[in-house]
Amino acid sequence: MADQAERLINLALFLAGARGPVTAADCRGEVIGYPYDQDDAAFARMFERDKDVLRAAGLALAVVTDDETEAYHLDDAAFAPALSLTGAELATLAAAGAALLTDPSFPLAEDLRYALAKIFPSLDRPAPPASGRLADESPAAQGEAAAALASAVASRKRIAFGYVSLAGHAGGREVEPYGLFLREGRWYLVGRDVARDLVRTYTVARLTGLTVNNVKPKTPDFERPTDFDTAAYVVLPFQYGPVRTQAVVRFDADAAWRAERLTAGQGELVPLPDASVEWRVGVTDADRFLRWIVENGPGVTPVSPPELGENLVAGLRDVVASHGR
Amino acid sequence: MAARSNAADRARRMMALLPLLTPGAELPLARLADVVGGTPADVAADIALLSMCGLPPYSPDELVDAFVDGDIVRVFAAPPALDRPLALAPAEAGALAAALEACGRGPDDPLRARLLEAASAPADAAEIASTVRAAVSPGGVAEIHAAVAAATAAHEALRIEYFSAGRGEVGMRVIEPWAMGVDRGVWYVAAWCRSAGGERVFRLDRVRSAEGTGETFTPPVDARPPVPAFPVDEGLRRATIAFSAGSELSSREWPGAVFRPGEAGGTIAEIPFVSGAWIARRVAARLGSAEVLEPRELRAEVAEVSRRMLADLGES
Repeated sequence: MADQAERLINLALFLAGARGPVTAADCRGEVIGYPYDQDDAAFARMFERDKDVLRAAGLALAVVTDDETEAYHLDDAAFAPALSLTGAELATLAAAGAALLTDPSFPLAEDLRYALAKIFPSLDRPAPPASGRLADESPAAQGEAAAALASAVASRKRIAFGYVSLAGHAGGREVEPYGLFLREGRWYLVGRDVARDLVRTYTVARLTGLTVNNVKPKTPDFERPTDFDTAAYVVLPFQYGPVRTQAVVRFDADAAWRAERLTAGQGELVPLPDASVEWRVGVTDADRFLRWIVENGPGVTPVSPPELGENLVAGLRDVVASHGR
Repeated sequence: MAARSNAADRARRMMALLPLLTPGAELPLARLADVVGGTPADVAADIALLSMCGLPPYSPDELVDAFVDGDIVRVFAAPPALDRPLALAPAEAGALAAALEACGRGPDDPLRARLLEAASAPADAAEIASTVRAAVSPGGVAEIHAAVAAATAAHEALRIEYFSAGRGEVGMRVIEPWAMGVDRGVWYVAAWCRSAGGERVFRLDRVRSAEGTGETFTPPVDARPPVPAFPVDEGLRRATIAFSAGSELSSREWPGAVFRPGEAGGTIAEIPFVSGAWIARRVAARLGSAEVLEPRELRAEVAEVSRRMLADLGES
């Protein structure tokens, strides 16, 4: 019997080389690899699986139906269109690929590799020296877990894992995974804790014994809320927990260009007539916020509430007093 | 998660190989493996299997006409079909979107949108954006990344405006970009800095502008990507810093630091550093809960950066 991969390739070539739509019966009769002694039901199951595999690889089978018989073909939409990418866009993609394909913590490396093979369909694509490490703690383990989690999010399958919270509470969790994000070298999962009925953020590196519900893999276990946005859970280091203060910070004119890069989409940036920018942002931990301001200065100063500036001045005077001796 | 069979993975790799098999080509197995994945031995086995695949009636002229010759794949004719790349699968478009996000291109980026539109089945941009966020809304970096990537690929010197976190000011430099890397979500470029006359590593989110000079250069043959961004080695200077009790400390925040108990529940840290200005600003940011014990010149630097900040705040 022909190798399964051989049958899949023969089927793909047959579908791509056909002059018009072909039926399952045509494939069964013409493609090497379908067992001669197979009954109709077994063939139908095998053919469905084969189509799924080819579709997952990007073979977009168009379906036409005539007298209740389905027929399949590849039209122009099945092939990569001319994208007319600029040199800078191609360089960006090549650099991203060169870095992230070496990064064991990037969870979508396999799909990225095939995507780049389609965008650069020759061996002379640029391969600039680059490497990547999105996550720096056990990158391979984080990448493997993040890949399983991304797949579970996409297919809406429940997951289970062991977890020790920051407060030290250990236990098993059953979670509906909603999304993943990367922040400062760590992957985080956002999902609904089924038992507590609460949406929580979990550090992927601290998940143990991760399993994905494999019952009815094509049937979703849950619906993600339509207004869910993973970005809403990505916060800056002074924003863990409920917001306690609405603060205003000023980036002076020389520092204004850095405002968008530093603020990570949090709060609101308001350009002012003197070319400075005001940043209105919610703050949970005021001390941590002041640290952030100093670390990202100069040119970044608190405007309100007044005690923010007062505490900054007092703290800096302490530093001068202790270090100026 | 539904596990895919090995045959499915292999068939996908073999389909990716087909458009690369151009007539007359002699293709190194190792390079093919770089592009489609697997090992050179995997790819050799794939080519051997592909040479048995084709179209009915499976006569020799309807089969894939390529064979492995040592480390090379020799191709005699174009594949009988599938000789051009397929459209992106939705998952592949999603992976590209995540990779571009890691390069500073957020959900509204036009290149991301074009790639998603080019997928073989509708790729829901909002669904993809909320499934994997590979960066924290790194606004304003995409153009810098593209300019540096293009110059690195073309070996073209760049003129950059660079914000020095240590000095707290923007300066103009001309650099020869050698290699790029992403560490903990931040992109860096390793380069020869003509302005400084030495090798330097630059954070792309601190590059205000980047412009090609039109001058090309020859990169060193051993150019290495700047990852990790903070290699800790024995040659670095070390600061001894006392942190008061309750200070939040981790070696992730202070790479290479060694911690030991200090007085009154505090912590003493031995922290390697390159730039005195960098570590001085971070100590000042602790607003009194950290004190440099050694070296003495770093103590003066901490005091000076704090005085400058007070002056900026209108305080003496």
